[in-house]
Amino acid sequence: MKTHTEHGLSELTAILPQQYADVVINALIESPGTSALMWNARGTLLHDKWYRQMLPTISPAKVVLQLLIPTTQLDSALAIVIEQGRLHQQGAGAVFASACEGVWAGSAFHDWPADALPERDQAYPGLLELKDDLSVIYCVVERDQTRAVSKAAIDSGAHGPIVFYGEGHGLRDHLGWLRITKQADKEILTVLVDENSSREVFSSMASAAEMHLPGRGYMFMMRLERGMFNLPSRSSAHAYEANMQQIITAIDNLSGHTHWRDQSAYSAVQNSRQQARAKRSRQNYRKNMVSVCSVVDRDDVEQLIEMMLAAGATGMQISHARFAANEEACELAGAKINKEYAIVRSVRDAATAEAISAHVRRAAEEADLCDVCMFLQPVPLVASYVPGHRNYRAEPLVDTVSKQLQAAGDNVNQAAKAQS
Amino acid sequence: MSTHSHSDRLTLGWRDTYRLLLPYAKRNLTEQVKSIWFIVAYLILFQLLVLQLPLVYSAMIAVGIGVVALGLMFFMEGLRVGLMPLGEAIGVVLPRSGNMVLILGFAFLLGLGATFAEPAIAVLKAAGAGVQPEAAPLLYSLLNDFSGELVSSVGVGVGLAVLLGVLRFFYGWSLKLLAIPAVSLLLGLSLYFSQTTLLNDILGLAWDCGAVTTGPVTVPLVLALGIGVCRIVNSGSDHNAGFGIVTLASLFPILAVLLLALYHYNVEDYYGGKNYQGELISSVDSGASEEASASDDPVTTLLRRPPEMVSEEEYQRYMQTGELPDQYEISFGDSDSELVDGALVLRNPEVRIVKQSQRSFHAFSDETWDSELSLAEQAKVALIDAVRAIVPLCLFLFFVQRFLLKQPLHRAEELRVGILFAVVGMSLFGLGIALGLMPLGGQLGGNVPVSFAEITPWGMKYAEGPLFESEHSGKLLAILFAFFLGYGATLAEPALNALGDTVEKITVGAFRKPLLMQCVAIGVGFGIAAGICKIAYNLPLIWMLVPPYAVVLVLTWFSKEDFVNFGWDSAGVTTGPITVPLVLAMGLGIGGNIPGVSDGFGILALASVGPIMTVLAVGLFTSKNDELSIEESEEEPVAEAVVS
Repeated sequence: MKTHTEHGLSELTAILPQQYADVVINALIESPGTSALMWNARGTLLHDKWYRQMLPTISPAKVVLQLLIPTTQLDSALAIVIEQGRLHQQGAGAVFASACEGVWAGSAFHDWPADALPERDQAYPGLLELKDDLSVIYCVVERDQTRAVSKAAIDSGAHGPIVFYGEGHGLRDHLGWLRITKQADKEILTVLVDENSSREVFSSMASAAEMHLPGRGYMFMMRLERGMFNLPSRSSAHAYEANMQQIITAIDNLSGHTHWRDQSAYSAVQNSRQQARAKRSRQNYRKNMVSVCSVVDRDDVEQLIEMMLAAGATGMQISHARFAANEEACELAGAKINKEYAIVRSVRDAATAEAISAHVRRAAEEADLCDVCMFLQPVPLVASYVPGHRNYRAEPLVDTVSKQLQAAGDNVNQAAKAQS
Repeated sequence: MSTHSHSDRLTLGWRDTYRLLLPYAKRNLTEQVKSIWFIVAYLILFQLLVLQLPLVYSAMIAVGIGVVALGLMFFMEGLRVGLMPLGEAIGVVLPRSGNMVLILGFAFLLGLGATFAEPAIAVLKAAGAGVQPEAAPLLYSLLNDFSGELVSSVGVGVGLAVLLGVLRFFYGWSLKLLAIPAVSLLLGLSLYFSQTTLLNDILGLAWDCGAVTTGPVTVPLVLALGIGVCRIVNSGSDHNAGFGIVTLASLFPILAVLLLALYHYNVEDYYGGKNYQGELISSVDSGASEEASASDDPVTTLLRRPPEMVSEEEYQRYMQTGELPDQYEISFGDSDSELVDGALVLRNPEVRIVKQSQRSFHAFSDETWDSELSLAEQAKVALIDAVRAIVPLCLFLFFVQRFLLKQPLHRAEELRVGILFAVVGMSLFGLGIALGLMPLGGQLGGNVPVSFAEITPWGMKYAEGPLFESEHSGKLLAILFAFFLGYGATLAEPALNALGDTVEKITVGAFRKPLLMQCVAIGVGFGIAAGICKIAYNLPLIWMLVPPYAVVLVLTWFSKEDFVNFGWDSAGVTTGPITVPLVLAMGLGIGGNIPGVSDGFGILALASVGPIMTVLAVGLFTSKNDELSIEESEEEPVAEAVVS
């Protein structure tokens, strides 16, 4: 097992338009040993005219790129992504990085060399656009809720969420064959927000998704070290000289903030509706949690889920990614044989998160699971159903299960304490 | 660690199990009811309100439709939990084995086996039931003497198609470059066939074969397999994404059947040919059968409704009060007319007052259950069909996974439950179709010609005349009916549902399932309307096939690769267990009232062109919309950027 304490590790995520994705990846993984994970996503655009709602929705294809790189390399990587992905063009995409703590990796895990990317001149103009007060909101919901949540996000001033597919695990894994009754398929919405509007966007998304109800999903916000975004929210007719997004950007630049985008103040109906919803929902946010994130070979993901469940993770989101690396790949009939990874994330309180990390690390060593990496990130805000918080008659089962799980997690914690 | 999860499993009481299962069952059942309500309501309302005929076997149909919904519920869950994950799992493992021979051999066997598991020959025989050996000897021979060869050649065609489809993923060939030459070749061959009378009969059969070969088990399995392979194989082009096998699997069988027909045509061993091996039906027999069929001819035996009598009572009332009975007709006759002093004088006119015949119309006929239909027998047939379609394929996949690829099966418990669901679902589904949809579609299909011809409808004693004065408006009504029948039946097709889910998954939700299903359903509606047009006016099939396929080829050339993949694949999945019986019943019913039409071939072939057109058209529209509204071109055009 390797640890990465000597130099900090950062998780860099880029949202790119599909046509530039290959260019960016090739530029990033030029030197040997470098690698990246990528998966497909879609953007969200609202039509600006009601009658255009009948037309097929426009969901521009996006590619999400994720790297785990030493923090010293971060600036160079950001510069490459912005330059090659042409992110300064309006509506193009986003790139952001957050620091990882408590990183450990299995022996077979791909390790980004500390000198892979050349030092960049800090004066590169694209880097000027980087902000250090951004947050990212991840929202895991059922597919049929996505539309409502996206609309809530856009109405409160955010860009159109980037959506990709994932799986939700936790409760269903304890049910035996009955787990077929709980669909694992979820959609994960990603929204980047400025610090000053983050709370509004977060709470309006949470009430649109009715996160306080059991079985609805999970959403959380993470602070970012550095990043920039340039994502559209609306499509508009081509007849106009400037499209809606250009106008929005121009007003942003003039006013210097994005507060004005919050539409709820202007729409009386929406406002009252939102208030009513907020009244009903009584969101119970939890604060100062920690995300345990793990990257693992897709073939071993079930083993890892079991380890995490055993260590007291109650729920987790999983997304699948293709692996692109600068190395000799197996080939068959002229085609490359891909490797796939799964990204497993669970958000718990700090003590449990650390216990999970420690437990999984031990269990992975025992089980000889070596293509895996795990790290922790602080999560200031979480919205989800809190078991026992309020008795919604919908699912008493969730409460029973979570109590049992809590007990199991406590046992593991105690065992870990006893060992140390 | 694997044992850990088992010890972790919650022990659920009956109460909790029930609490889990009830909403689950409710959710899935509602979903299926949503997908079939339109076609059921449409058929019943059309029968009652437009044709104004009573519904025969109403109780049986109601039970049958309930069973169909239940069966679909299990079957779709079986696909989602069992068959599709199994297919995808194998698709993922196959390329990693690194053994190209094994991969291609597997693909070929899968295609071949799927054809034998879900044989379409029964459907084709039903369509060709009225084919007379003298009228179309080659067609008759293919359906009867060489039916084994027919199934085998279709099987080999599908096998080669799956093989080529998988090979395509490795080399990253564009589907355009495969489909356009293949269809051009087929159209060329068809044009050649249409020049010869004997071969011309085959065209309908051949093109229909392409439409019916891909069934509700094969399609999801093959789609899942393709997705699995494409997850692992990176051929450089990002657009393959696992589609295209179904397209090839609907094109190759057409070629196989055309070639088989050409072979037998040249060897001359068809019915009445020089080298015919089978027994000729003697002329005496055929004469007798002609007589029999002549006596069965509906026109000669039509029992017309006797005129309604004016009763003694009504007569008395008329004498006293001068009140005429309700709904009467007055006719004049028998008068001597002459011109007297410039005036037209009628002498001794006879005025006949005849009561109009009142149609006694009940919504439901007294026959609520078909007494000849044995429930146990039908259930047995449905179960056997379901087991035969699913179990051998799954065993084959399991065998390949465990013993050839030597990979453990993940989530085996879920897969077992899923496959069990699929078998149960498909048996119920088959039973429900036999009880509910077949009698409903059959009587409606048989009754629709009432709009333009005089026939004896189901459950009626007397003939009903044409609803319209002009034959053309009657036929127009039938064609309009066909459009909505195709539309509604397609929305209920399980294979299309599976394709819709897959497309949504692959495009990460950008191309929504409802949009795809609506496009395809409208396309099928147009196709089936065109097919009924063909039968109602006895048009030559070749001129119904060439223009739409020519349009499709042009659209394909200009479309984006993704849409070419979905569009062509949706053409292959449209004709499934719900559409086929309904459409065939109608085609045969209408054909029976048109002189010179003996078979129902060709409708299904036309039904698969329609959706290609609609999906490609929507694709062209959205991609244009997409380009213009999202990607700004402030600085440099996108194309340039990609090159750099």
